Amino acid sequence: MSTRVSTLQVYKLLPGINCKKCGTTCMGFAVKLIRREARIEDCPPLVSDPKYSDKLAKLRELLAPMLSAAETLVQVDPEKCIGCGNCIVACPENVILDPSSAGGRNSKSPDALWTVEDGKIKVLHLEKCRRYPPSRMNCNVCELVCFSGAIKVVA
Amino acid sequence: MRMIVENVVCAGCSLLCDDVDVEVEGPSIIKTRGACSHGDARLKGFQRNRLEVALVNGDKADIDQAIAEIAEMIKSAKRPLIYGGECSSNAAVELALKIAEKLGACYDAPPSICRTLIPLQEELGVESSRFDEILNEADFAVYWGVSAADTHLRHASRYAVMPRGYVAKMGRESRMVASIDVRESMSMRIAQHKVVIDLCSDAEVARGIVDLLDGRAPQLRADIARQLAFLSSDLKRASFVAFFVGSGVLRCREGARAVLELAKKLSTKCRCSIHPMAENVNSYGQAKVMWKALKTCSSYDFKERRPVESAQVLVSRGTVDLVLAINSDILAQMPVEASKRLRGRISCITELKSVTQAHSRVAIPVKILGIEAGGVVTRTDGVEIELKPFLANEEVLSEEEVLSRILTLI
Repeated sequence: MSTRVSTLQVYKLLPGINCKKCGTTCMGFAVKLIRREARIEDCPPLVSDPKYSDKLAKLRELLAPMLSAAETLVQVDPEKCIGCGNCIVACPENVILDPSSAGGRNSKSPDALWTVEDGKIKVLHLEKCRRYPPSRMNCNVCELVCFSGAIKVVA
Repeated sequence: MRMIVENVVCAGCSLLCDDVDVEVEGPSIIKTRGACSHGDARLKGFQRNRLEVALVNGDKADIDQAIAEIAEMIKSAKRPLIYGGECSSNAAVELALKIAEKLGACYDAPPSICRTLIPLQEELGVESSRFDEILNEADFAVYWGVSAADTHLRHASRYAVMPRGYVAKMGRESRMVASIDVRESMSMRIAQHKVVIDLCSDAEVARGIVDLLDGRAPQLRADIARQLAFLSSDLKRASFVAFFVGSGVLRCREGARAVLELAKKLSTKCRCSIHPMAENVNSYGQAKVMWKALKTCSSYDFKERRPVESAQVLVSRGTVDLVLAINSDILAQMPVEASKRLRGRISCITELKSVTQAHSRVAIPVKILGIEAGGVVTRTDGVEIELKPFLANEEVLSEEEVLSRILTLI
């Protein structure tokens, strides 16, 4: 089951009054929160009105994993990684950057997105990931093929 | 001085990945690139747990003296057992067989799926394709009785599922994956068909798939039958099916035979290939060398020139009075009662410290295969791969050198 944080999950924990004090509607703010273009504190009613304190606590809990994730909103747990290399070979962007990995080999190019080093995955160029802002493509191939569950797309 | 050695063949498992780079400093490997966590642990950790000096009765000894001692012991034994070869080169296995033949000894190695599959493949005529053919052309991979994610970590990414080939142009999207096991394994994460079967029911399940391919209803539990119906309908559409069979099927009587019969049945409809998921680096080579020389992969008695019971039975019954373990931890695989019989009657040639080494009368250290010693080993698709040494070690001999010296002395 996916553990990704969805926009609707976030929206349900916002005031839902569309006051636009954050500059947009509540749904727009939910999208911004997930994209990390806004912070919870940018919603004045949520942080100042005590009637939303429950929602605020739940929202902070929901968004906590995102804080430790990279800009791509992908979390890699090196403790869990077994270095199988499935992500390297399956990643469409990595195959473009280092075509040798299309044939099942470890990526050796310094321009590659990632490589396996010391039996663990190592990200070389995060900015080349399809999920990196501003494009933010909704790609999760690496998560789908990861044997050990070391790679998690958080939102 | 630091040095980078490129395209080293990793001897961490029977996949023998040939795209590993290592960074070497003095006698140690300090960094690996491309090796999985198993390969990385072997490459970086070999110095930590290695046997450094020859031991005779627990005391340090000269290697020549230790070799002479072993030669004398096995020469004077009534019925010695030469054991191992699954972590040795093909040449070392051939030498072990020659020693056993010269002595009229018994020879055995740890139980392996390769030792079951090779004779059955010959009997039923099911062929194996090369891994590069599977990489390029196979559109269906079946993992049976094995979790590649636990044993052969790069199997899916290197050959079977993820790579993009000439025919399987989209990589994993061009292939179907089935994983059949007695538990929900990590490999099942990438499989479209995840079939969790009952313990020891491999033969029934394989025959059930054959029934479904023939259009008959299988005699199986309803939930399994339903899953197999989907699996068989996808198998019917496949053009190249690759079976990867692990030692899990050995738990089931007739399990390996039933899976091979399924592969044979499929080979009438499409291209089909079957591969054992070898447990150790050269389990396949060991079985293949034995098959070539003796036309059997079972434990063999050179005195009576016939296959005999396994080493465990021979030791338990007291048939053998001395064991020479060749890079194999026989005591770790033996019941306690049986291993007590070997007290003072076991010697070993070993790379690393082990239970067997700790209880050996004579223990001879050897160079680490694939790091300090070269040699040819056989991958599970039958391709012979040459391991090239990249670290020098003049203090110990290679396994082949030790075995050929013993052969000369006896």
